[in-house]
Amino acid sequence: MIVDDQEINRVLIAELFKDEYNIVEAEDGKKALKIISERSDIVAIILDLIMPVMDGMEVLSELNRRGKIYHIPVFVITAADDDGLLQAAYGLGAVDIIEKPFKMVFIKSRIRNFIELFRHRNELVEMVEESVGKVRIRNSRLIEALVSLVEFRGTELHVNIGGVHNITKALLTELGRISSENKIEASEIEKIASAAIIHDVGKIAVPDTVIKKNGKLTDEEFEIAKTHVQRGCDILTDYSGRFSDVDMFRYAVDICRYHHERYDGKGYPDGLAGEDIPIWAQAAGLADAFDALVSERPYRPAFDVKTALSMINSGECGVFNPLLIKALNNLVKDGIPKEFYEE
Amino acid sequence: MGLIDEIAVIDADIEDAMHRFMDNTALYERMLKKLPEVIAKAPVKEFLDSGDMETVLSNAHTIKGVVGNLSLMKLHEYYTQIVEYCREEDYKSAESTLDKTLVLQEKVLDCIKKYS
Repeated sequence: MIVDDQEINRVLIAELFKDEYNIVEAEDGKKALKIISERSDIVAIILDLIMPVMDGMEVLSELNRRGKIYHIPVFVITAADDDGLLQAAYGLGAVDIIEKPFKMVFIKSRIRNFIELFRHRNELVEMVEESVGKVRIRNSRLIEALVSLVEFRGTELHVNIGGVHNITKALLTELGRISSENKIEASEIEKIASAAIIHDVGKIAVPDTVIKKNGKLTDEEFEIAKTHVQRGCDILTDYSGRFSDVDMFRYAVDICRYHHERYDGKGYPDGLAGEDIPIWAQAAGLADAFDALVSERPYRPAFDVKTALSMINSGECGVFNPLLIKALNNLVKDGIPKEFYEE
Repeated sequence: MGLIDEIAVIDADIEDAMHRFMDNTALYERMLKKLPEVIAKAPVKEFLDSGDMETVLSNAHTIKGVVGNLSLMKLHEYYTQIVEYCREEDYKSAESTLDKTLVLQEKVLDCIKKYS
């Protein structure tokens, strides 16, 4: 695609490539962006910087915002006499400069080389994404199998897959927004959220008399119940070879072991405090506590969101990371968000 | 004598132009005939007189790119100087360069119009 308000410049470059490529022309940035939104076959953009309606720098910024700059090589046409502008264009992802007056032999080989380079790069990205997708499917099947094991033990152990997964994901996303130090990449958050689903897998190894008891546990029974975190880790270790993703396995083990740890060190099994508890385990622990409060149990109805939030804030369910509590408050200030319980 | 021969006498480096236009003389002539419209849409003198130097710079820059691609060598050199003077805010030099630019430009445009 050639974007230039001067027909002479467009025609010259079009002549150069008309036998190899279909040429699309636009005379200003706005028209160029419209074409880019409508077509998926643009393999290169040759962009003038100074144009009416919308200039080349604005187009570059928008291509950045849309993430297109990583998939389509953009060449900037310029008289090459404004270093500041050229630097800014490179900063926004332009791959090369085409100087006016055009030197046709160089333009042809430079543009052709970049088109090939980006084509190979895009193919590689597609291959990686496809592999990641397959890994995700394998992991999700394994998680489903483990969840089925837990659910098989009866309604007491019913796992709200959407709840813990979605709340953990929302908490970590919001945490990253309010605290840049705790920002985790979206792809990692997705792994953590999936791993959080099986936080209670160890309960299948705890006796029914404890796990299905309909009243308050004795101290001895509570000690037995607490072993579910270690038993969960043991089960996951047995399954470690079936996890296709090492990070996800690590998240799952951490979450299994540490989701009952509390920020003040009064949790179990290791009495870890503060930042010694992995942040993903802290998030899953808070998600689990909140999900439990707003869900119905055989021995009590669900708490409304205001009461649940107030119980979390007052520390009735143990002390959580203040930043995660802030994130939760931000998320539920207008009631439980729809995405918390979307499958 | 055709357009190409005549414009060569006035300003164009035909060898350079043919290299850029891949020896397509018809295309070169067609693009030369677009020049009067480009210049009409990007006036420099009027904005220089009214003191709108931002537009002077922008229009001179536009014409500079086009005449460069048409291998109109002296015009390209003059417009390059005007752009530089404008960037340096040396408007007096820009104005005096524009005077001789317009004389040459007029000759180029007259020649093109004769064949349009």
